[in-house]
Amino acid sequence: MKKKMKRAGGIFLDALMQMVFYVVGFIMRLRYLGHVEYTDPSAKAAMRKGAVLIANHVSHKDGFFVPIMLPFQKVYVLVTSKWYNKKFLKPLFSHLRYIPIDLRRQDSDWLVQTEAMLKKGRNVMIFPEGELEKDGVPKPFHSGFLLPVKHLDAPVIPMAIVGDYKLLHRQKLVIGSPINLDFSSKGRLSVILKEASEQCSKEVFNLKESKSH
Amino acid sequence: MNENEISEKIKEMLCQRLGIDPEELTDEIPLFVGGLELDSIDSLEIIAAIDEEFGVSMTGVGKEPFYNVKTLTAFVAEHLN
Repeated sequence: MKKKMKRAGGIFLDALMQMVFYVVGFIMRLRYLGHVEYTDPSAKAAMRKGAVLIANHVSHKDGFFVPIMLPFQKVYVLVTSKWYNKKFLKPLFSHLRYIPIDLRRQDSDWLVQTEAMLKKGRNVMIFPEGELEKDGVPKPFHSGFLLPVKHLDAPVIPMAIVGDYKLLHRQKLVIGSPINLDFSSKGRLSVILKEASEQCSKEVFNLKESKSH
Repeated sequence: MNENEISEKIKEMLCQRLGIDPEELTDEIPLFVGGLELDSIDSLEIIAAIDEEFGVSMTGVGKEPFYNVKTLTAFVAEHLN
């Protein structure tokens, strides 16, 4: 009985936090004039089945902005455990759709959780740069985000976050076409993934470049 | 499953999943620096594969078990049951 009550309490708290998240998100959307633009309708179809979403990383707000802009796509966001475990953020992150990743050790829990979500048809947002861009200069992509893609043959959808989160300035989320990746070539896994991640990086930054002006 | 069987399975898995040439892969050759020069992505794939194949979790363990096939085998054998 106690267990059932505890479980019901947990579900209620999750739902409550999710509601608060979307209310705050709605305010954020108005504040930054948030706008979503699809360049290819097939991305929408891919997201219905579960995909890995990748984008450039301009601000810590990105991790909130993307799920807020895509409220019906059930987006889970990969966040570094450095942020996930902060005292004031952990209660929030643990009840919302966030997956921690510890970059300081060989952490494979994020991979297990990401694959579980993809199998359920959910979307997982990853910022493959692993850190914020400085002065608009992109960082190279880490190729680890392609492991769940390779394991599950999941689609990868490039996105560009355009704007500087200035009050009442248009903040855009541009969604590109799913990327066709080929992992069938022979050779070292790390080399194959590095080449594929460079291809993904090009797609994201070309998308950003094309929508920046 | 005895240590020989575990070792063979690990070798097969490393060749298949990491694209290592089977002729290069001996029990003793270091997997990372000074040997096959694998990187952090490869080690993540090793962790995922060991978990999948043997049900043994290697998340958060130190570098030592990753040194070569022999040390990986010893780790798996120790934690298998």
